[in-house]
Amino acid sequence: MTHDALRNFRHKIAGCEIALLMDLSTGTVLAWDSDLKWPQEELDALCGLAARLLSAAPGNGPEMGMMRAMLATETGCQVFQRGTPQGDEVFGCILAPEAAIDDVFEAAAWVFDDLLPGDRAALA
Amino acid sequence: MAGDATEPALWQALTSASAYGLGADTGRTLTTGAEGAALVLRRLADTMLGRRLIFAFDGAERLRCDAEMGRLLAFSTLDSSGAASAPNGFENRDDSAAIENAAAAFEETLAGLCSRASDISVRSEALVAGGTSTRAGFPVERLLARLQSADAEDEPAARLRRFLDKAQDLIASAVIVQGDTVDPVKGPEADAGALFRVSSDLLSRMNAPEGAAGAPTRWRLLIVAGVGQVQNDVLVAEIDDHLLLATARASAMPALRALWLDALGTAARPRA
Repeated sequence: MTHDALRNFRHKIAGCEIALLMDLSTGTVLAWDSDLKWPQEELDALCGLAARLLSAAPGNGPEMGMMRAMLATETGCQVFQRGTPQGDEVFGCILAPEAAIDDVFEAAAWVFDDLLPGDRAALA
Repeated sequence: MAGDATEPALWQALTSASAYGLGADTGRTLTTGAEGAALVLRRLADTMLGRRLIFAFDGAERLRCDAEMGRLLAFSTLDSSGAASAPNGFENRDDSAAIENAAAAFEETLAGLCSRASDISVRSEALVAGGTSTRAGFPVERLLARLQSADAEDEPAARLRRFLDKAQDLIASAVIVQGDTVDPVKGPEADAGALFRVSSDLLSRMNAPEGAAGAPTRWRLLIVAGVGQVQNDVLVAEIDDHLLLATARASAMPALRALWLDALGTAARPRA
């Protein structure tokens, strides 16, 4: 089911090279989908980057982390989004350099609606 | 709808049945090497069905590329007799370093050919049997993006200010930092110190040695959005040794990235 949700995300978003689901509490990639086989160390690096960026607390108080982060470079665009504000489950994806990201966050929310229906419903 | 079993067969039939021509392309006069490289890369990026493209530089065929779905699968150089060098391929999906090396070799080859050419033309052929499906290939859009970035002539500070001009409605406060110089460019000066502290933390997280934030690149744009009713997102843009630190309107991340690419001269693609 998780893999299907990630694959559906990639079908919805043009230029998505990889979509993955991570658990920041354990620093592990729970599932991922891509046309190519990604080395484990690159998946680990993505998970580490997500953990570092989303644990930053710029001006929101020491207890608050970040909900979303986007890191764009000339070779691609990495997007990370938590499932719930205090949750450790994080969706991530890498997009082509010029891919539009307008729909990415909404599509990521759909992934979590599939995976964490109870937690998400509590937020509504 | 084609099922999993029939889809490859349908794709193969479409590939075989389609014309190999690229439409009228009788060559183009070029003024810079980068312009020629961009022309070649755009042709490859636009190639969806499997094709072999042969590029002629000033009338002499010198480069042969296999491409499919906007990915470069393999390339060879051609000598004056038309003989091809051993193909440089991107076969091994498991070896990302080898694929990056092959991409770098292609960029070097292309730059060398284009630097001496004033005219480039192209013709296409069918891909020989043997298959494209097993080859990973390399996304040509990525090569184009690298080229566009390398070819940019603007000073970093000018680019940052151009971005600020475009995004002024979305940005609350901003400073530009170069070396030890912090230059408040928007919002209260009192915000400058706090912005600098916040952004230093984000930069250290982005640059942490345990797990790089991607390969080294000339520019980076980081935007983070807080939990809950936070008024502003935080934006860190970096070009060479220049930094732009800013607070931006919440939920404006997609618009800010689009404006950033626009300011760099690389428009984001419209939604599919």
